[in-house]
Parts: sequence; structure tokens; C-alpha cells
Amino acid sequence: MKKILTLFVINFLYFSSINAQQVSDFLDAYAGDNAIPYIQPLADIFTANVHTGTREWSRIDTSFYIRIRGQAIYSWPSEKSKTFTGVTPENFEPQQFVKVPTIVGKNEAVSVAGVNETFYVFPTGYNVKILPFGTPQITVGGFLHSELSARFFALPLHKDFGDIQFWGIGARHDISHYFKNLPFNVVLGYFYHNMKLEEHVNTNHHLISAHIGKSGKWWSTELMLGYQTADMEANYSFNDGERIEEVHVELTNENPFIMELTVGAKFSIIGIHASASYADLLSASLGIGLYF
Amino acid sequence: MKGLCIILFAQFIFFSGCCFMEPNELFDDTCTEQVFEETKNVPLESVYSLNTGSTFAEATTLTASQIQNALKVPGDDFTIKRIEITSAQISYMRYPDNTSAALLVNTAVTGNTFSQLLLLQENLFLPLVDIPGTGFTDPVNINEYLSGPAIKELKKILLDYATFLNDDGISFILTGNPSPPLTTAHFDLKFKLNLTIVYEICRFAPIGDGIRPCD
Repeated sequence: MKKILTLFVINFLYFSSINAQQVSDFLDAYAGDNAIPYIQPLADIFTANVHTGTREWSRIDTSFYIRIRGQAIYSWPSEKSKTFTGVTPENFEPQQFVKVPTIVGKNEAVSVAGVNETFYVFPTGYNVKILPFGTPQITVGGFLHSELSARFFALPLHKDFGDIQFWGIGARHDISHYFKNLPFNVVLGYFYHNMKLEEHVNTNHHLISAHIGKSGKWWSTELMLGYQTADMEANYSFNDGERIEEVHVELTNENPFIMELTVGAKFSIIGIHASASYADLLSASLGIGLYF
Repeated sequence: MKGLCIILFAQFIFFSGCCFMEPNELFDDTCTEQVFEETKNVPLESVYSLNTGSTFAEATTLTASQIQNALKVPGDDFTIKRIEITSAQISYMRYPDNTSAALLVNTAVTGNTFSQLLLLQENLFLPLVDIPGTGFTDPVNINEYLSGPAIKELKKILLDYATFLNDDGISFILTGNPSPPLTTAHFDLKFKLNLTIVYEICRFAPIGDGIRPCD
């Protein structure tokens, strides 16, 4: 148990390290046309990541229950998210369009030749193979055929890193009780998440989901189909060597659909669950908790 | 008992990261200092003031420490791998008493450790008729007038400045004459080279993400 909990803590700090340690260093590669496609994968990966493992049990019981759990969530950036078509700046001649790394792409500086021995070098990616995350979650239910879930942490990191604040709240309602003798559980849900990383990153994520599943006394399985939206603000200073430009970038996710398969088991009050989701990229979640 | 269980478990889950462990201790097994390649944009600028009706020769000298400071990457643990010149630009500021319509210029760079390099085409014609009277104009690209061999050589020279201590500075020299002859050229002229530095730096990151572990 302690090992898993430690893993959970490591995961979210580890994630935080990637994104807070040198936030401006990671984000400030570009201003202008290349800025959004360079960091676009972050919006897509964060969105898929936080929407994975949101539910641990298919059935919403009619008697009161509470579940407290921790979980690790991993997302693997897709191959196509690792590159984008970058354009050379106005002062470089001739203008060229080149396939170059995004922020999660290869750590290789791609350069193109211009006139008279001039070269333009595109900024590198950071070779992100996997994005881990972790979050605690509490779920209460058993009233009005519904349940409420919440996720929260606020964490001061290293003094140079800043603070990270993450929270989410969601609800599910069982609609299968409106139908007689339905052989499986049909549930509709909504989840909202917000994450702030100092003044550099602020994201809002919305998930509307439909769940079809089946639960036994000690086991549960379900398929979730979801529609997800996100808006992300990134603020950083771009230094072109001559002047410092304050850049404000607003992004939305480009992967609106998510599907997820979840299996869970309960032994006495100990519950475990595993989820795998796909939203143009693969994510997986593993959690453990106390189910009362 | 059940309530106590909930409270203890909730505390452990919600507060373990804040109270029980230091992030640096947790990172030890999963993250390490690794080498990453990054880029940085740096301009090298020289500004000349011209107020003459005849041939002129102006020099702007960058000291070794000025060059090294410009090429320095934040933090200490970095290694410059290469320097590229992305573009050259020129901008002007005209004074009211200027009567010249154009300049014929030569731009060269010289230093004690290398022979003079002519950076632009010889006697480059710079028309000045549309220059507004106040403030510097927007920079004009002059990449097509650069001398390829000189740019190639200058990149090596700058890399030398970046990678080992060199006490000598380098001078950017502007020579030429106003056109038509005998008119007064009264301008401030800014010549800028846009550089990109490619360097390796140590970053604290998940094992395997970097090029190699830092020494």
C-alpha cells in the first residue's frame, strides 16, 4: 500500500517537475505563428490525462457510500503530436515550411539553409515519452441515483518551481433505473477540472460522458464514451535576443472524443481499478482506495 | 473504526505530498540531470552615426566580454555546439539636414586574430529616399547582399569567442560615400546580425528523455 501511495505521490510531483521546473524555459521557444502548434500537444495530453480514471465503479448504489482513492495516470503522446509544420521567421530568406518538433517531440535542432550561408534553427522538443500524473479522489453517492466526485491538491514545489493547484468536481446520474430489467448500468456524467501553475499555465477541462457497464458484488467493468473540451492559457516571456515580448497563448484541445474501458475489483473495503482510454493518444490509469 | 480509517487514509492521500516527503527525494529514482539541446536567439548590433558630405569610415567595436556576455546562456552548465547567422538587417534614422538620396557602403568585420571579412557586397547601394524623418525605420532584410564565404568564416570566429576566452574584440566597420556626390549624409544607421546559438544544457528530467546523463 505504501509503495503504491508513494508511486502516486511521485507521479504527480514528477509531472509537476516537468511542467513547473523551468516552465518559461519549456514554453518560450516561439512567438508568432509557431507558438500555438509547438505547445498544442500539452492541451491535448493534459485533457486526455485528467479525463482518464475519473470513475472507478459502474453501478451507482442506492445506499450511501464513500470511496477515497489515489491513482496514477499515464499518457503517451502520439507520433503525430510530436511534429508540426513550422515556418521560418520573416527575417529569414527564403521563407520555408519545415516539419519540426513540438514541445513533446525529439530533442533535435532542425536547421534549414537560407541564402548566403544563413541558417535558421528551429527550437527543439523535450523528447517526452510519457506524461505521468496522479491525483487523489473522493466519491460520495447513493442519493437520488447519483454520485459526486472531487479531486484536489495544492502543492508548493521547490522554491524555484512555484505552486501547482489542481482540482476537479464531477457528478454522475444513473438512468438505468428509469428502465425496467435493464441488464446493464447506463450512467451519464460530467466532470470539470482546473489546473494552475503559477501565472504560467491555467487550464479548464470539461468532460461529458456516457457509461455503459456491469457490476457484481466484487467486480465492475464499464465502457465510457465522452466528449471533452479544454481551454488552456499559457503565459511566458519570449526573448528574441533584442527585446522581451510577453506572450499570451490561448489553446483548445484538438481531441474532442474519448473512449475508456475500466475494470475494478473490491475486496472487503479495499478497491482497485484500472482504466485505459483513447483520445487520439493512449492513457492508462491505476488506482487503489478504500470503498465504504 | 471505519471513521478513523477514512480520516487516516484521506490524510495520507491528500497531504502526503506536502508533509511527508521532499520532492527532491522522490525525484531521485525517476529523474536525473541530463543533457538537452536548446536554442537561443542573439542579435549583434552596431550603430553608426554619419554626418558627412564625403567618404566616411566608421567603426563599432564589440569587446570580447560584450560578445561573450551576448552569447552566454542562463545558468552555468552549458556547452555551445554551434552558432548560425539567421539574417542581416539594416535600419536608418534620418536627420532633417540630410540631402543624400542614397549611400554606397561596404561593411566589414575585423579583429586581431583574423583578417578583414567583407560582409556585404562591395559598394552596396542603399536607397534612402523613403526614410521617415523620426525614429529608426523597421529593419530591412539584406540577406541577399551578404557574402556567403564571409558569413561562414564569421560563424567560426564567433564560436571561438563563445568557447574559449579571447581577449580581443572585433570591429564592425562601415565605409562608403553619399550619393549623389557632395550631398550631405546625416544618418544613424543600425546594422544587425541575428544569430541562433545551439547549445547543450543540463536539465532535471525523467531518465531517458535527455541525450545523455550530465557529467
